[in-house]
Amino acid sequence: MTDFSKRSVIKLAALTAIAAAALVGCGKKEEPKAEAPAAAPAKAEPLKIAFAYVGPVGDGGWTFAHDNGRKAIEKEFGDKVVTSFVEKVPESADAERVIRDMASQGNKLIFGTTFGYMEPMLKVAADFKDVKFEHATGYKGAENMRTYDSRTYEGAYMAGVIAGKMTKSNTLGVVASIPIPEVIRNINSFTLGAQSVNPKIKTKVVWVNEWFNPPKETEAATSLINGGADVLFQNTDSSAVLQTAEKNGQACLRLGQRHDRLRPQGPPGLGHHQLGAVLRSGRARGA
Amino acid sequence: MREALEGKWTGNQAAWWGVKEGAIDLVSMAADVPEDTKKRVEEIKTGLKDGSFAIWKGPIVGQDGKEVLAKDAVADDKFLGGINFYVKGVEGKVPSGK
Repeated sequence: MTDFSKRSVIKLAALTAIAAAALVGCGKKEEPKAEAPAAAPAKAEPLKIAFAYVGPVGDGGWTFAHDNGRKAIEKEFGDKVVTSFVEKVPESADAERVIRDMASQGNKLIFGTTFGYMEPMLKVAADFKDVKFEHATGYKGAENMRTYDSRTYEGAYMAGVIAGKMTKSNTLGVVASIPIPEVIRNINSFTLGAQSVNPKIKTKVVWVNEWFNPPKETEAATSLINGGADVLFQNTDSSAVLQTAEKNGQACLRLGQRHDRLRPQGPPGLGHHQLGAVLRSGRARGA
Repeated sequence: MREALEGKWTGNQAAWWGVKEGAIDLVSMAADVPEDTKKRVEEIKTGLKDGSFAIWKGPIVGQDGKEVLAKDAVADDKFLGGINFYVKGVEGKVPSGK
């Protein structure tokens, strides 16, 4: 136990690092001014858009945020679009089936919101050339597939600065998801941020190997706390780490995604498109 | 999204947005966070926005004590995209491949 009062702990737990991933295409900024579209389609069929989510929409994190983005798209584009989603799509062969179904059903823009959909999406993209695919956090593209991602490590670094100041034990804990570069980068950035204000910082890491697994996340958080960590940072999606930290009187920072507002003050070309800001709890990436 | 509607969508692109683009922000810092820390976070945000601050700027030392980024060197996106090591201060080992 630290000497934070229970009350202050709860408040601390409300700390949120927001990684807002713009879901929708603000293209390359350097793109030269496009000529006026040659001919606007005479009558526009609504664009059918489908989302494949890795978690349940109620996770309060990555998937939740994406779904808020989906709703924001509906709100902004009204009858120009029809959206749908499938939640809890495993990062396995099932993903290909679900995404293929989406394409077969006439969706022309498909969002795959987790790293593990990359290969399945590539396969389906090759078969449906007239469908556009948007993949979160991957590194492979195609003529009709591109990726979007956010620099969550910047949020991780700032969370680290706060953690480095708040810790009494100089030991921080990270509940990590899947060992891909983004998550490793976040652990490092979190540590660098903490060390920038407190050179004595040590960071312990427990890998859960999943994005969303409340029992495993709880176990990881408990083991970190038992190991002396008094500020936790989570790069996973459920609220389990936060709850465990609260219960044990520790502080927890979630790197999350939250869609809390449209950002009118965004930079030109982006602000307006910033439909889906996502706050991921501690998780770096929509894997 | 908008591009898809307007027929300007093109594939094979990767967008990576951060604080500068308004895609990352840190909100609702708890009251317990000391003023100077809040101030520091604001400074970082400002620095990331105007480009005067880089998180991954050397010297940065890996877990094994070897320098991974030389003094004043700033990591590019390629470097950032391939990080598979821990910096000094992180305990344990990076799990090998998924």
